Amino acid sequence: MRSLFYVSPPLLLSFFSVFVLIAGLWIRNHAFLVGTSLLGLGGTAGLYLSMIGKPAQDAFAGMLIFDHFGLFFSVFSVLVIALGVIVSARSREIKEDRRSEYYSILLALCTGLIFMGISNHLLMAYLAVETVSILSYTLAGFNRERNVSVEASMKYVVYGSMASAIMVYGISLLFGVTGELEMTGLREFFAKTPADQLPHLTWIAVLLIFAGMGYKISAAPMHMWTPDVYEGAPTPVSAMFSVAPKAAGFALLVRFLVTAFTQPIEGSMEALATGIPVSQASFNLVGNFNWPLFLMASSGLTMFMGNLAALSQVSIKRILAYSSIAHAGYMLMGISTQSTAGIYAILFYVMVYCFMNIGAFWIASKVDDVMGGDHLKHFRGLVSRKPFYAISMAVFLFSLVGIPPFAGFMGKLYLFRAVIGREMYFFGLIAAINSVISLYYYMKIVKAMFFDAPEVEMPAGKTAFDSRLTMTFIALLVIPNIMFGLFTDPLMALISEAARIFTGS
Amino acid sequence: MSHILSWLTFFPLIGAVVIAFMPSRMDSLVKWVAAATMAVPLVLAAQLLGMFDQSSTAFQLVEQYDWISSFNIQYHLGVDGLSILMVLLTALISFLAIFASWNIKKMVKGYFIMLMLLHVGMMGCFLALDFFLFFVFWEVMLIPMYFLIGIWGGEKKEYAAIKFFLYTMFGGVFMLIGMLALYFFSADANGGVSTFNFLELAKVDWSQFKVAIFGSQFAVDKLVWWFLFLGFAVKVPVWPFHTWLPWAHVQAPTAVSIILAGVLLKLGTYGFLRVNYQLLPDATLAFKYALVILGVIGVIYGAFCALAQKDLKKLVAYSSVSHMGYVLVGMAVLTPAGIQGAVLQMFNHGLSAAMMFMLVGVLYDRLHHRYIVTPEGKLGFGGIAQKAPWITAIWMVAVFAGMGLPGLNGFISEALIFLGSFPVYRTETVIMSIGIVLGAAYLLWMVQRVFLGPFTTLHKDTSTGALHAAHEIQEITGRELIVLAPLGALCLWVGVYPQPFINLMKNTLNQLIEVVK
Repeated sequence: MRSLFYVSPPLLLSFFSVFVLIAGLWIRNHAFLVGTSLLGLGGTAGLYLSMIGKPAQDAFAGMLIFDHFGLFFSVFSVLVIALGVIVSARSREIKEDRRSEYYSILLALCTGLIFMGISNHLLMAYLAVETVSILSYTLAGFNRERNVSVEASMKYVVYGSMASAIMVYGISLLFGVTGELEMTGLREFFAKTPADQLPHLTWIAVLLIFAGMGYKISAAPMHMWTPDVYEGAPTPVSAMFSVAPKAAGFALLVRFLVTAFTQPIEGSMEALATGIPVSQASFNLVGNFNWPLFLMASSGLTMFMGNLAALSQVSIKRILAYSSIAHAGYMLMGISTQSTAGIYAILFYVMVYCFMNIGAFWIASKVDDVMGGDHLKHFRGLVSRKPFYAISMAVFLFSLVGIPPFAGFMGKLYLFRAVIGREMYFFGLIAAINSVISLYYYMKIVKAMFFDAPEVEMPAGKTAFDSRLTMTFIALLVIPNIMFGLFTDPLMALISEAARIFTGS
Repeated sequence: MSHILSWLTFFPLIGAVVIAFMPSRMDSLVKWVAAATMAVPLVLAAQLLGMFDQSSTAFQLVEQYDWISSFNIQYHLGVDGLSILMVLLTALISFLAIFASWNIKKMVKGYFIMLMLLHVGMMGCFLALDFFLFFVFWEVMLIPMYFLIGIWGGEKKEYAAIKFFLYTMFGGVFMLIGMLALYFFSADANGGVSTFNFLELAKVDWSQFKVAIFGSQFAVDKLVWWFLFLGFAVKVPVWPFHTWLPWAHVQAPTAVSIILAGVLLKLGTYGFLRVNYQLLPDATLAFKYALVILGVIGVIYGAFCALAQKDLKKLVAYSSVSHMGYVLVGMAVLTPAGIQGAVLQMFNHGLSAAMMFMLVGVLYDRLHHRYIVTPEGKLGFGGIAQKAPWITAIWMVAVFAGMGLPGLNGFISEALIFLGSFPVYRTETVIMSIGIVLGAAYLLWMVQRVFLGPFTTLHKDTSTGALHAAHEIQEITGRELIVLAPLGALCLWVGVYPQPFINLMKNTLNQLIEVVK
């Protein structure tokens, strides 16, 4: 029963998911569907907020874990999906006759994301990843009348099943070597087994598992599906894909690597709070596999892949897709520092990334709705037509580049702090040069909006641009992009609590 | 008035908000609101001058508050002898830039909002005493500058804007990494607490720290010095990082060129003095010769490039590269005369270059082209002195100030630089003096082709793009005089009686030399 308490929020969410699906058969009212979905998400968030402060605890015999790290990502998933519901509500890409299914899938997806963040057992993690994946395939192909959407879904299925097959193979190998699938159990095994007695197979297994998780966060070389899927999927869905599964993937990856393969140095949390240099507050590696080095390579590769490929794109959704690959690369820096500061930085980055990326996708979705496409030419001259959208988009893009005073800069700064604090200068330089490269393609969009003359005829009369509600919500996304750039202390206080990963029982 | 430095920096934001909410049909009112807004920092700067104690070498009127405590970042402003002249220059140039942009017709509100944001960035940079704050202001400048060039610029504005942005951002990330490295190492020397405070960082003895990169050991301060150098060198611009400058200048609207030459370039050299010199004196001593060499190359190379230009604005742009080279040499020789000359040259070049860019704008507004020599090989101007003697006269003041003619400001600062550098680096100084001759050559040749001789000036038809002979040139207007007269008067004042200006900075700079030596 005690365990049930910890899963009550996802249970509530599942209930709402089913309810929306069934009620949707009779009630076709759009506002009702959106309202019910938001109610479910709000209730879940409320349940989670009431759990703040509860001591860390494992549940269902070590299958799940309840700690502030998981709590953070659970609330985060709820937030992103709620934003997704709001973005979708006004989108024309979601056809009227299948709205109830759509919202039902979104809520179910959220359940899967929550489980990704709180699983402590590799099988549980696999189940959660699969739940998210299968629902994502459906969402990607939701516009089944559009060929690109179907193609996106198909590609997603092929890549996705490949990745999960690899992952489950890795899990089975790991089980063969260690006899454990629980992450805390894995650490005990590695801690007590001398490093030279571990077969190399162990580390191959870890790499294979990483392949599965890397697919979720679109780390190179498992990133190939991203641009096609983001381009083909309905834009609100792409907006969510670029943030929610990625964040959950990071949660899982961090938990897996930190729980199974590191030993926290005594007092490191307290040390960080009192301002001791970050370089000293970190983790010891368990076993002889240098996964930080491996992650570093993957991170560098991911950044270059994402940024260089984005340079020549003309579709905004593709640019944002490649940019989201690059951002996964930046966030991977955080784990490869194997320090608490790195985990802080990831949590902070995920948070601000959500605001800037969903904002950018949202405006892309609006432009797509009104102008009939998401290419650069559809953005040309936006400032003379709809200055509000152009300026908001510029804020999101500057934030994505990481220019002060916008939040993206603080996010990058925390990551760089973790990297430079560990004296990884070369790595820091690579990341820094990447953010210069990224400037070019983000500015291509700004240039189109501000410098170029309008090219595509805008339909006369009232358009989706004129919705006051949409503008209010976009403004609500602009505000954190500026606020978290200037005042990070409140968010950071929250995160220093959330970064406590429960590592043992 | 308390918090005068904050008001000086952020007051234009109030004006920007007011303008943002004004209806866009009231364009002429927007200009007056902008002018009124920017007058306030100018008045405050004058008041600041009255409050400034020039005998002290400490930071004055300091404002210090915690800002981001998880990083130990403070909101920390202050002014000293190094920054006071730059603060005055910034307030003056920002105010005059409003009048220089009276002709703007496209998106007037946005334009003036951007000018005001630019002021916040520039002023904040000169006043910040916290490295992080400095960096934020530094980067904040990029966004308005990008839009100002990109929206209101000339034919190749997009290229110029992104080139400017990429170059400065490239320098900026190096500065960021260098800054973070200093931040982390400062903990060991500062009782376990990392700091961005310039004053605290200046106390740290960096020679004790080493870093390993790919197995080889580097002294932290030597490595970081180059990182910071890159950040500032792009802005100065030091050869070979100067290629963005001609583009930015030529494509930018007149007022933005004025600000760019008048203030933005100075931020680079100011950064050297404030950060590289004060925080990393040992490394500065070790690498000062590099600054001398790059400075001399800049002087000569810039002058030769200017000599070859067929576009009037590009000529002035390259003359900036040349003049900023003197600053680099002056501060690298580490003698009182040299470093005072360098800071004075920053101020002087701010005046004379701003004047020249304004004057280029004056000609462009009337004739709609800038060809000294047209693509067909004909003279684009010629004999302007006959039709517009006043314009010519003011041009002469700017030209002679730029050439370093005695009695005008350029002479004082260049003489000081030569005086300071000759005893230390003889050969280099002699080579640098060729730059003076070349400077006279490109400027006088330009004067000859543009203003003297028979009146052959061409006028470009804005609708067809064809060049045909102009008949009349309108004389200088009152609005243009508002911009040019104060600059010209200051040129003359510094040229005749520079002592008050030198007194402002003398003590601080002498102490700075002591720190480095």
